[in-house]
Amino acid sequence: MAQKSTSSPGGARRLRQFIVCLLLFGLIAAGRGLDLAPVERAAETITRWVGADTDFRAVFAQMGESFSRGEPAAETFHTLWSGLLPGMTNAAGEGSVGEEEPLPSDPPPTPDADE
Amino acid sequence: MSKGTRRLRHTGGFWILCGVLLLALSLRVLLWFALACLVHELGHAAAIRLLGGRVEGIELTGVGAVLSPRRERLFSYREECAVALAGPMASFLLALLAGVWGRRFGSGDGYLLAGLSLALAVFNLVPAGPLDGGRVLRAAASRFWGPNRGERISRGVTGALGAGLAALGLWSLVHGGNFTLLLCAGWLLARRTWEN
Repeated sequence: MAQKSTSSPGGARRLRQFIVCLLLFGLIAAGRGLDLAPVERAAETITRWVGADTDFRAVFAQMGESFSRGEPAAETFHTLWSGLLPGMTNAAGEGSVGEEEPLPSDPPPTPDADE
Repeated sequence: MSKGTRRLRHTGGFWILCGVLLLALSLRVLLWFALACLVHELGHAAAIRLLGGRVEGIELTGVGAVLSPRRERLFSYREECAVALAGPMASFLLALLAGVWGRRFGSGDGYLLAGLSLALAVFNLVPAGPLDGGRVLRAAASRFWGPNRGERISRGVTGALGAGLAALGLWSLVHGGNFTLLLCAGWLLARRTWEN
């Protein structure tokens, strides 16, 4: 099937595109493996562009830990939500993962209670 | 162009996606994510097999994996739902097992795999056309209102969800967020276009 399609001009062009894609992947994989500076710079740029300062690995690991501890689904997905989408929680006035302040054990006294 | 063996085929888009993911994440996250995707697809394949069909091959593309089933007969809407739900169920099972691994051995990789697999399962349950939830919605709507109306309902929900995700993504971006939701919306709409 592949032979049939590569014999046509369109097939040959697509084969070239495929080889270029494969080569690009090979270059990226080699660059990441060997810590090549241009590839690392590209990685930093993409990470900044895609995820701001989100640590995807930490977010998913926290979510997995929350799930395995049997925490309620809402809490588990809040971990993912606030980790991956800090903008949403910022706008809603919430803190991100790990920044939530514990609720005080006793509510502050109201003026009525003081009187 | 898709290359590879008859059973496993891959496109240039797939390798570009892998390259971008490798740049954005790390090799370790990418490998665990690949395992989570493999188990998810194996869930679908097992359900097809249990229902008397066969998986002739799998194509890895820039917008995800696509199974090529060979069915001796047409599946009923209920069986289509079962096949669609088998993937997320397999992912939930993997998340449970990986969570046990993480808890028992204190392994960060176990927790990471659990989180990735759980996120994959939940994301696939979104009732948008190309996802498993969308296939369930299409099958259920077709069962009650016929295939044409079922298809229209599925397209409408997919379009609304894609637009909603994009709007939410823009809102998040304006409030100091990142591109995650916008990328999800883009992926959803790209996959819908690719499937069409």
